[in-house]
Amino acid sequence: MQQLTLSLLKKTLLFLVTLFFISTCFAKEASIQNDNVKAKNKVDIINDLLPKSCLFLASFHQQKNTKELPFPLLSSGQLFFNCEKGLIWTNTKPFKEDTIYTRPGINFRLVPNEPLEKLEGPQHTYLASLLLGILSADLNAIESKFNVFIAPSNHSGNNTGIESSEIIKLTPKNKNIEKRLNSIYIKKHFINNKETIIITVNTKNHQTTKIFIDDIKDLFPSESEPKNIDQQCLTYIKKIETYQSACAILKNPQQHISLKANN
Amino acid sequence: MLMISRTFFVLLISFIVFFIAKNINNDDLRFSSSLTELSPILSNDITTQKAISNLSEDIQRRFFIVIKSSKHKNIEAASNYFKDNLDKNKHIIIDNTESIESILTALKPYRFQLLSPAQRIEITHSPAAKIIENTQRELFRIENSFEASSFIDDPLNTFGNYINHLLGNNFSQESASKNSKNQPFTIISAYIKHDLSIKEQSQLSNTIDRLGDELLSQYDASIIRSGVFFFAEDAAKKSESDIKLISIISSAAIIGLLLLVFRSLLLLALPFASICIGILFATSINFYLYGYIHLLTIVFGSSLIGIIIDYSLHYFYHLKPHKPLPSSKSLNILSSPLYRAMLFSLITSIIGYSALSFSNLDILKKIALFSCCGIFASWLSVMTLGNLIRPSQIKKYDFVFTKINRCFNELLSSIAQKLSFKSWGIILAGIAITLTAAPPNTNDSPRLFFNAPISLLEQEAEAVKFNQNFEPGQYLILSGDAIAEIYSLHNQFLLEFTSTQQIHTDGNIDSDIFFSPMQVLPSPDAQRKNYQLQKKIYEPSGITEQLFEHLDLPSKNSDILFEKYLTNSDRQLRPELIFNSSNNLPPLWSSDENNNYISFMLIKKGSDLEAIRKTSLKYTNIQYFDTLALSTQALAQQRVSSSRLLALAYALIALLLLVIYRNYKHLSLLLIPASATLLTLVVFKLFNIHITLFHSMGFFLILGLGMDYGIFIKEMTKVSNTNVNANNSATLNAILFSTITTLCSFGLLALSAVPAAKAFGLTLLIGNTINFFSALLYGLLANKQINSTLKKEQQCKI
Repeated sequence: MQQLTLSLLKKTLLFLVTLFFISTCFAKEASIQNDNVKAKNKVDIINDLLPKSCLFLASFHQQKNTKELPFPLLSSGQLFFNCEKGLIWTNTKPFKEDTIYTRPGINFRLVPNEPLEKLEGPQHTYLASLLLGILSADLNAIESKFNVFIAPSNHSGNNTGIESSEIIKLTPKNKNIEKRLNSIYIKKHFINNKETIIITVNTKNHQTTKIFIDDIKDLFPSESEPKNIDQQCLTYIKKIETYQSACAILKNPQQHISLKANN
Repeated sequence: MLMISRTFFVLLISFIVFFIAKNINNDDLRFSSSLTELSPILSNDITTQKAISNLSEDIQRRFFIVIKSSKHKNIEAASNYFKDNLDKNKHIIIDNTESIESILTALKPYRFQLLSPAQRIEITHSPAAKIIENTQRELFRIENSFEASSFIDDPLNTFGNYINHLLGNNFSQESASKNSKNQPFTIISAYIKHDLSIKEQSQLSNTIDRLGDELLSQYDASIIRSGVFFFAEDAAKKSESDIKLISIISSAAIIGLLLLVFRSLLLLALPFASICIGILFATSINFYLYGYIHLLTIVFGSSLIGIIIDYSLHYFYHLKPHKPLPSSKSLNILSSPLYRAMLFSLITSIIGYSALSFSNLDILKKIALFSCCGIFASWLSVMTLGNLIRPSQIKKYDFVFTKINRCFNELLSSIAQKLSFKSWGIILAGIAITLTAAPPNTNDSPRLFFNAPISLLEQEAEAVKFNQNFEPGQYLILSGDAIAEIYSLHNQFLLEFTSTQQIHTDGNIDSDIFFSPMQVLPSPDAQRKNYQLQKKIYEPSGITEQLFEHLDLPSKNSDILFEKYLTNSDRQLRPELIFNSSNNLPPLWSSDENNNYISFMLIKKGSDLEAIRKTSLKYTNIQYFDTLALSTQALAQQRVSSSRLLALAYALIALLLLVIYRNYKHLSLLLIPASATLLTLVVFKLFNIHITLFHSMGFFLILGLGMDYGIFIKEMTKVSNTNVNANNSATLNAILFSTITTLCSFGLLALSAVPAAKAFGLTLLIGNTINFFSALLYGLLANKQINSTLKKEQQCKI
């Protein structure tokens, strides 16, 4: 009787060990598969949400809400983006000025009747890498400065249009920036088949800045538009009546590097 | 007398037990490998010296890692990976992340006194409407959201813009990838928050090595290390392996020899106890006084075993069964030849080691204290615990020593026959004159303290190509009685020297060559002007009020701001508030209670140093400091003064001999260490060994050891002069035994990877060997003298 009990106990134990081993193996496999899905999703979602073109024009509207001002600060303008060279961010309302974020990491500002200002400081470097990373849908570039999370959107649709099903959430990696910046959310909004990329920046001092980028005009597929970047930039400059030197700076920022920071 | 020594012994043991019990869990007690203590005093002025020490301590706490890769894309990811992993180490701060916040907090109360040059121009020349327009412009900008101050508190973002100017110009934190000769790279700077223990140092270095390997495999990126930390860590590693080598091998050799000769565990216990008590007492005293022990102290200290063991050996060899020890009631310890010899031996060793404390190197002073404490405690242990051993328990199996000594004696007897103390003295005088005429070569470079590994030196040289930093060992020191005086001196100097200077509206001058607090923070006068200038912003109906009206904000906000402005009228920002270690910034400014102010001006690498030095000579309150040259000069001075001190030590011992023996003939004992010293110098000359301060310091110990041997021979020969021909073989055996143990310790020290320890060990290895032979010769000559005296006495009797 005792022997039988022992043998039963042994068999049960053996069965349990085998079961545990198999379940562990399957669990690991499932987890690896799940991770692959997640990784794939991140790249896909970024590609879905962000512009696909390497060269485009777009419009933007900005709404900045601060705790201390009773009204939102609204501004708007145009942007010219070339994934190899950088970005010209032209604010037209309520003030006219160009901000040039270049790929080598040298940034400038052009204000009417003011000398060219070289932008220095971590906040400019960070903003430049954020905008260039988002506009070129470069996950690696974004991840070099931010932790990237994908979250499902709360609103899949309402009377003003349809929102993308996912939201990208970014939190800064740099400890200094983390002390100023809470998070950045990126999502896409569709209204009457018109795409709008919405970037929401939440700062520690309770400011929320929303940037709406729409009217994205891909410059590559159009036969009528010139392919040359110089010509394209000049066309853009003429169109929005801003500084021609912005194109020169974008093309060769090193020439302007000797300029001292003017702030 | 014995009662006193026992009381001292009990007190000493109580101190050790109390100290260990109290500090057993004290993590603050640590072993240090800081290189600051190896720097000689460079300035006679206490404030200046303190400032230099603080700066060099700060330099030691900073290190840089250059990450380079042929693939530009990999740099940022590699840098982030490196930073994220290195950041897990709680002892370091990466890229001054914490310092920016502390600078902001320190500066904020002085915001009405601070303006950048551009801000001054704007407030002075721009109309209010223009300033309001610019402020509104800024308000709409996205980057404005990152500012630290709220809009209501700093509507024109005056403080925020000043901080941006300050950080952008001087403390750029963003280590973004750059291009230099088409090679993409990034620099990570790190600051070590506090002194690291050897273990923590090693862990940090291992982490960096591991991360370096990971970057290579994962990102195809390599790292270059730059900073004193890596050299200190390497030196610590070498010192640690030296300590292990010296203590294990010399202990094993000594234990083996003791067991071979005495064949008794009881007799092993006394030397073992004396070594333990000596080392424990020396360690406790050092920890008690300084809170740490430098590794180099331990390296030197571990060689003490060879000296400490001598007391037990002499005790065993000279404790005579037929000669009673002085009773505990006896007041005159000197009545026993053994005690007298032991006491003289202690005095000479202490004189030898305390000479190190005359040096102006902190480390040598600490070594002197450690050694003297260790020697004294061991000596006291032998004298106290030795009473527990009965003379009958001491049996010696040292026939090998007797044979060796006989052999050496035979070899030396032919010399002894032709020699007298007088002729010996004359020969030594001749050698001394020759050496004075043609002295051995010297080397006083502070770089000889440690052997820096070639790989680290190469990395350091390569890092310079990427990190255009400031000269680490060459700078200007400006001094004055007032802050304004230093600012004025700084401007005068720059006006005369720099051609690329930029004069600002407040009189301050910028220069690309120098970095100093004066270029970063406004002078007291400029601060007053800045405050006055900002009146335009905060006064009633001023810019702030107009701006708030424009934005439909209540006017009470501008009233509150104006009140704040008025209450802060008397503030003055002092540079030491920013440039101190608590902000993780280099301590470039310091002051003392007598209002003596000192500021450093760092010089950019590649500048015309000679021109800077020449210009500085025109100003009495500006000193050009070349730490390497000054250290070399200071070490040379110490080497020279140590030779004078050695002469003084000889004179003191001569005086001691005259006082004790009251006969000038006994000065002949000095011939033993004198021969060792002079012949060691001859060996150095012949083999072209460059003499350093550490070689010179070794000569003091040669004097101590030589006197030890001489005194024992003298005392014991006196005891046994009824049978002089027996030549007191016990004494000679004890001396041979002692020489072997000493050579074991110092011979191993001569193999050290630390050049300073090696120099000391080599000097003692050669010197003490000569000491031994000189002692034998002395014994032979002494016997010859006694024999001839006895003969004369016998002839007289006949």
